[in-house]
Amino acid sequence: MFNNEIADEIIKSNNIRILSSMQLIEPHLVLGEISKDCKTEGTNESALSETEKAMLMEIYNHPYRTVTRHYDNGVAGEKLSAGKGGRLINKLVQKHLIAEHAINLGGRGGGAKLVELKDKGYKAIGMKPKPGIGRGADWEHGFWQYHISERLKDVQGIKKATIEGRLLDKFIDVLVETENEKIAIEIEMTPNHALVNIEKDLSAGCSKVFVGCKDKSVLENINRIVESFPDEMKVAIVVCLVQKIVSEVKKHVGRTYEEKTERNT
Amino acid sequence: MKEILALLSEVFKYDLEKDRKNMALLKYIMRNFTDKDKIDMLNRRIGPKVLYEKLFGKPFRKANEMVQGMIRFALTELGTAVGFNFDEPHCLIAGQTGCGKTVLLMIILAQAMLKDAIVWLFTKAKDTRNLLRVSKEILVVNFDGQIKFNPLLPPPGVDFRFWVNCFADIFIQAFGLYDGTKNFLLEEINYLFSRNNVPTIYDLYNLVKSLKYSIYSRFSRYQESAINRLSGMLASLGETFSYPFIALEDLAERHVIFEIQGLTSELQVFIVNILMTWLFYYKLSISCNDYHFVGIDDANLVFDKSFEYRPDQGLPIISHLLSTVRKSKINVIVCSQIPHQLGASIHSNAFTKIMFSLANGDDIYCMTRSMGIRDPEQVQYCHKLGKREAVVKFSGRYPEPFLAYIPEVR
Repeated sequence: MFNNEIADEIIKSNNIRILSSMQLIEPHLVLGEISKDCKTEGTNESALSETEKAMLMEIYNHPYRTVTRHYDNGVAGEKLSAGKGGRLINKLVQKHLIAEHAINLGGRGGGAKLVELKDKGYKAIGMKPKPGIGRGADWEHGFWQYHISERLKDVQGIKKATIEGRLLDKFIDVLVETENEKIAIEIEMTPNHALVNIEKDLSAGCSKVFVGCKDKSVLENINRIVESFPDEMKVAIVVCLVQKIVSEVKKHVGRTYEEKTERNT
Repeated sequence: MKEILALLSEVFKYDLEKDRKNMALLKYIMRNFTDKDKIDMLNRRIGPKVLYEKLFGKPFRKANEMVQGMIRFALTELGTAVGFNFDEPHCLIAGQTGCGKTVLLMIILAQAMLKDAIVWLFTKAKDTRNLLRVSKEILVVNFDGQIKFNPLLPPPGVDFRFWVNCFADIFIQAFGLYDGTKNFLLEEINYLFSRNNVPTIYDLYNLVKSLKYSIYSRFSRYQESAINRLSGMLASLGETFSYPFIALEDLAERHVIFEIQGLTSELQVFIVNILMTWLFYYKLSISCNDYHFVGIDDANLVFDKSFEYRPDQGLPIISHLLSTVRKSKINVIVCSQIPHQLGASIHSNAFTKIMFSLANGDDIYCMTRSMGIRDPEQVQYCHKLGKREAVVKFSGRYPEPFLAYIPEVR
């Protein structure tokens, strides 16, 4: 039919051209890491070493610590080096006992690695799963609530920073109380509930609402929502990235604290 | 009266009814049996033609316009284009080596591509690459690791437990294993999916290899069989089944030529079966409107009759698929040199059957039976089919077998 067949090189370059527009599926696990002990089915608890169990317990007790803080705290009374700690965490991830989360904390440090105990992890240490602190919200939301409340506790002028603080039967992600005002902090992973949350906080009597957004796209969307508010409401709302929320709250509280002390003197 | 009936049968047998004068005379004679003049006139008109046909004519009736279709592949004796339509699956092409089966297959697939159908071709010949001259958008998979895929993953929308069953069925059929190993593999693949959503055949091999049983147990025997077949498979297809791979749903939307000539016969059976089954369930689950044309050049390995005679396994999956892929808009075009060794499924489910010249009497007997050719003259003629000459039979639209000629492609 045709004089000569198409050469391998032409086929290869044509394949490369077509493949360049296709998405490739990358490995989820390293090949060969799954193995099964026929004698004991399911999660093999006896296969967990003491160090692994101790690390699981450390994660259970301090669920929102970064992995480096876990290493510093040490397991079984021994501080772990970054290499040793990293290998231990990887092993636990491969055994599906914990899940890793990479979170950008902002500032110069950039990303931080955190770990979350999975159901198998809880089983392995014989503990009941801890309810999340964010009333059904996801793990990252819970982390930010914890992180922000912890960092605001010691700020001068702040009396209390309560996770899921209750005000007039309304729950606020982090309720910050100073001597003369109540400040609401809402953490938004998506823009879907921002409008409801802001209105709820203002109607509950908060003088200021800080909205911490997960990323820039959420920030832009919420800014658009806030622009539609009347001017007197806009003044009471601050929208920023979640990484910057602590500094924004500090700025606001610092200003009012200074004004108050000036008045007193 | 006998004379008139003989006239009538000759007019229709040799397609002389198309001549208006013949028909007018015939109608007149039917009304006036006694008009000898008209009978003689008709005899004089058709006599020479009947004599010529008797001496030099072909024993098959000349096909009319009913044989036309969208995918054209031949011409009748009268020059009418012969073709089948998208909704008339499947096609069996039988002929001895060098008679032009592959060329015909390429003519069919090229037209399907030009009419927006998606083409998959399983071939042992490199010359089918020339389809790239019709469209550059064809991937050629020659299993050297350039194009990787993972047949262990179920089609989107299909439950993994169901797919695992299909995979195990095809695996044991292709590699000649038995129920014990199948159930052993089923358990391990299910376990693998419970640990990892995207397992590969490498993961399965490593898992099976890591198991520890007493050497006297039957499980140990099943494990040995599974490791043996899996390691053989990975030795040839290891590069193809490794990461990072293309999702098969992406391949399903493209023209692909699978060059299976470098694989062992068991792997060829496995690859064709698993990919066709995958495509079938994928199209069923997404209710896709595109037509797929799947060409299998030299299909004796895949549709081997002996697969249907394994009492421990029942009907092979491919046989079941042929009867059901129509629902998924998949047309299968099969070429064979030894049609009498093909399983019954392709003979029973092919809408279009094309017979080129065959050298073996068993093959000719099988094809004439399959095509319903009973007339001894026609059967005799099947033994002396010429170059590019073929007997074609459609199942529904034009049930008579007829002669067709494949035009020469220059």
